[in-house]
Amino acid sequence: MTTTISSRPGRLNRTILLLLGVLLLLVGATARGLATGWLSGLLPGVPASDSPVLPEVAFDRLLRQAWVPYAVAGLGLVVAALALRWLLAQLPRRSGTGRIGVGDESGRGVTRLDASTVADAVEHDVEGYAGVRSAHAAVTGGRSGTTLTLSLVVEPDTDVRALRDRVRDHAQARLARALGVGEVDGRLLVTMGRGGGGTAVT
Amino acid sequence: MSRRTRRVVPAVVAGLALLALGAWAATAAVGHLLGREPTGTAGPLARALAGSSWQDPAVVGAGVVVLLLGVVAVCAAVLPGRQVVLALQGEGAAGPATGITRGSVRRAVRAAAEDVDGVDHANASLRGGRVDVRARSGLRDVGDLTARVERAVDDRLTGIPLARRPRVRVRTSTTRSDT
Repeated sequence: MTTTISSRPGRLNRTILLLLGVLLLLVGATARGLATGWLSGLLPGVPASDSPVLPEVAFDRLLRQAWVPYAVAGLGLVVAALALRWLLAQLPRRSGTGRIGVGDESGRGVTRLDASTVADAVEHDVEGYAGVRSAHAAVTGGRSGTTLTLSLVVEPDTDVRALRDRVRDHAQARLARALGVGEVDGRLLVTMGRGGGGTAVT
Repeated sequence: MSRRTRRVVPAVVAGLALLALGAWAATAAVGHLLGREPTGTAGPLARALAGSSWQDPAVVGAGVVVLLLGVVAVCAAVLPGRQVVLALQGEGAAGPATGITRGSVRRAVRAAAEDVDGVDHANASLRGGRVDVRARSGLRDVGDLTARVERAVDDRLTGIPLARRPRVRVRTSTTRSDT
């Protein structure tokens, strides 16, 4: 299994990175403002630049509050759990699970097929093409039509133009026939494998 | 079909840092609740912070590092980043929207250059709509090698019909030094 097109944590990553970045900028800028004394000149009650970062008295007073360790433990766990979820979102997901309908548009005699079964059949089809090393297919159906998403690893000397035509004329056409629909939208991601063409495999 | 970088590397680095930070804070707090040495590893850190002022070089340095990390994170979030999947020309209404990874194009160009007679080793890079090929040859006289490599790379790119066909630049050099 190779790159899957379905996993798209890009937007999530950029959103969280932006929030974190702004937070870090604020913290860093505050530290600069305190160190240079700029902040204490601007606002009353701000510690001077030669005062301790964490006054011992304040720390002790904080620890004596009964709720503080619970709050820190709870907050720490929440941050760790969210971070873990964010990390897991980076892993590729297999999409196209679920069911898609087969049959005429009148709605009578519609057969429901497992999307991954259909995808497996397409993968088997495409893996037989010249130059294709491995294939990953996902079939997703919606009101707007069925989409076939193919991710192929091919030999380095493959003619991509010919491969795309073959996908259009064979895999896409067969899928459309099998599902009893006029046409199927296609998305194709090509990755050329290493090796071959005189390049040493290391 | 094209796609820009998903910023997975900065996301994983930041995610691991947050995971470590959260776990450390929770461990220290639970340790404190269980009556261990005041706050576990947080104790020494608190003492160090109590002993240093905002002007201390270590504190100032840490502040600058935090500021720089913030700049990096905001840049990673806002800048579009490099295109990792390049779109191919759309041909025929029923054809699939096709994309190819940047690395694939680079490998294909490199393999095409290395297949040329007289080329021992080649490197290719693809950026800003231009393919740069550096071919090294063991021949004493490289002659028309540059032109032949250019032709081979052009032929190869014909089989990969990129929506924005890159310009090809080839440089050849010889590994043999005349004595």
